[in-house]
Amino acid sequence: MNYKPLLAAGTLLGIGLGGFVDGIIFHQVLQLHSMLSAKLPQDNLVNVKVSMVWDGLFHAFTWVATAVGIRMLWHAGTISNCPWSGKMMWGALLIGWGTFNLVEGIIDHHLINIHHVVELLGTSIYDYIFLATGIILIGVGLMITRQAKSNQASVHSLSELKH
Amino acid sequence: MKFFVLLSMLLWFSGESNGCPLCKSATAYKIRASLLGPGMLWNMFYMVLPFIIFAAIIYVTYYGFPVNELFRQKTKWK
Repeated sequence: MNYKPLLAAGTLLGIGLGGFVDGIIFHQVLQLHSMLSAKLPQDNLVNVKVSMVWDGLFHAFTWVATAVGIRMLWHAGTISNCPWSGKMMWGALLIGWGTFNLVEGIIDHHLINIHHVVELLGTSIYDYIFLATGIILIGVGLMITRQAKSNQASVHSLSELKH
Repeated sequence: MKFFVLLSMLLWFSGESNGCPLCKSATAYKIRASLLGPGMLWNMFYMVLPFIIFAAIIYVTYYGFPVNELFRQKTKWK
């Protein structure tokens, strides 16, 4: 059993979709921050317009991640010893979403400080909640993928016994 | 109909509505100056950095750690 193609495809799709959740909810709908909001105060039209361009580029990268994830998922479907498990896919998606929150949170919110979850507050409790959601999503995703692996292993051993 | 033509002309010729990065207005000029200023490459690097790490994570998920492979090759019994 080769789980890696499905796991990698699901994780990349989760990263892309997690990026879209961040971009759509925090950047656009709630407008709590934008890509460079810690560097460019969002109090005049020029800065807002410049931020809009950087947000657009961020969305372009998340789109590319999602598109490559779909391509990898398609490829995983053609591999004969790769189990087509919905549970594994859901687990991988959650791992990907959590990875996005954790990596983006550590780099952008804490290390290079280009924006924070609630820009008005600067580094705040919300940035740590964002990191915590990343860790929780990865943990839940890992649990689900582990369950999926053991289920697939038992199904595989049962089918071998029948033969 | 006349109202919409007038409205669209107003929007077209007003300075603020022409504030797209490729437009020809004072606002657009400021936007371009800010976008293409000396910090542009750094801003691009900051934006791309998480995606480089994501690509590395996916590579490791798919192929495993490349260091392990190198280590295995070096420590192979001859």
